[in-house]
Amino acid sequence: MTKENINTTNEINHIYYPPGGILIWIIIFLELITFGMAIVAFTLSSNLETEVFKQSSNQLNLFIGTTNTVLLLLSGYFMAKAIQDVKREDLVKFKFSIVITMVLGLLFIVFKCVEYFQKIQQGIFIDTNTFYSYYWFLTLFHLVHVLVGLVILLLTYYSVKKSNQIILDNIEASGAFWHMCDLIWLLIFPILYLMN
Amino acid sequence: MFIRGLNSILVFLVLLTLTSVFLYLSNVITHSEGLIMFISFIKIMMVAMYFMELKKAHLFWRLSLLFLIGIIIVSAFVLKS
Repeated sequence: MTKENINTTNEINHIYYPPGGILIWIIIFLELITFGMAIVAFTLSSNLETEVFKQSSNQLNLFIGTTNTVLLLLSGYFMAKAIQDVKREDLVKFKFSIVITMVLGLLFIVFKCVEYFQKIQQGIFIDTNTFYSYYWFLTLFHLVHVLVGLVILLLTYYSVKKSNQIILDNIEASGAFWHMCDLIWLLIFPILYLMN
Repeated sequence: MFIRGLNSILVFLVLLTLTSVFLYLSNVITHSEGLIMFISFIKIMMVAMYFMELKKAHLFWRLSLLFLIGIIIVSAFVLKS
């Protein structure tokens, strides 16, 4: 891998060039605003039905929630490492780091599905009560983002593997999307699992 | 480059420690909402600054994210209490 094979705008400190490009950051801000509004609505509803929210929150599986937090943080570390590997022009390490990131993402989905399965077995659905309406909406919407993030990472991996050419902006944008899933989870985990 | 790699590991370890701290706080202290939200805020900013490399971006992006996450966390905390 030579320097000529790495395409980048390389103007990282310019206002129009945040890491990954301006478009991905507009998406990140819009997503954070959407989840932020849902969290504010959740908090307002929790004031109206304090007991229901407290009891329902205590029914959530804190072990799975915490494991998922650790998995996402670890995948975030490997994604950051993958980008450092690309900048170091080390394709082998880059591929390794991105595969580990995807495996950790898949594990997150597996744990989430186990949690959903437990809830369904207990007869808890989206219409059980207000808390669970928010729970299913917030966590499923987040899960969709993780799935989209995994598809983006898979496409990034194959495009690098196939063409052997690195477009740094594209890889940074994929990484930024993946980290956004981290950010959203770090917002919703304490609100759903710990605050009540 | 080695220092950079070490930085990422350090950031990850700090994030893990903060996760353990807020799990502990939520079990020990009755009204720990404020602390939990504050720790979440630090964790989110650490992920953004170090993993997303926002610390290298223009000040506008850093302040915008700080403001947005701050608004969400403060609103959740104020409305809760």
